[in-house]
Amino acid sequence: MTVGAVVWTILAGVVAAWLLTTVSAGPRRLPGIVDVVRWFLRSWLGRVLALAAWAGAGWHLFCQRP
Amino acid sequence: MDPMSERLHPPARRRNITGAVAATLGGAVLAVWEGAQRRQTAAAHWSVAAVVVLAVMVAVAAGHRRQRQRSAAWLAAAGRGVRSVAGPEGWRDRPAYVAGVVTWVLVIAAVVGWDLNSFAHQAHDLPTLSYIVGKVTRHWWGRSAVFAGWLGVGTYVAVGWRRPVMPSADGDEP
Repeated sequence: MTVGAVVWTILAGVVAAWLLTTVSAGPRRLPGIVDVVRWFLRSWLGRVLALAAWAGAGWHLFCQRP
Repeated sequence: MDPMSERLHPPARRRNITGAVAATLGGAVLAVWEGAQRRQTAAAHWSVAAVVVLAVMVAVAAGHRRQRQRSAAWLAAAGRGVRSVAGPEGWRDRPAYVAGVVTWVLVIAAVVGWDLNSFAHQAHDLPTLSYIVGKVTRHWWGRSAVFAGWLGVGTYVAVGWRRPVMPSADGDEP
């Protein structure tokens, strides 16, 4: 297993654990992934930033990567 | 509303459900079709570009006078939030919530930072996140599934979390 694969595995575990923690705690105690997305969608500026990130990710994944 | 009138003018809720079902079916068909495309083809480029343009148009149409906050107020609130996290008040008043915000920032920074580090090195031992995703999207089923997920996220970003009440000038932007 390469160094990169090890780090990505650890990061995936951390993200999964944190997602589970926020879901089990509830939105009033800990901010979840939906709260993070909704925070961006509150204003036009945040929504435009989110749309730009989404569009860039789509172009990169489906038009540039194999 | 009498039955005849209801037949002629279906309630908005029914129209919304019909529209959501049609959009879901259309998105599923598009995702299956997209799975058969390759990244370097004109069809892949045009379809992704068309979806992005459509998402922007829908976001503008659906968001007219329905944003929850003005951009300036949003930025100011973000600044207050940063000061709250950096200062003692936030930790004292809502320690768990502030710790959650800080953890989110650290998690996202770690993922983005490691991805940038891998991209900068361009080494076989340091794959980027998109390289890992590319191992899935090189198969038609993987490309379809990831594209469907991308469509779902885009739909929520374009139309989700709007203010439910439309006719109000307070807190809206042109």
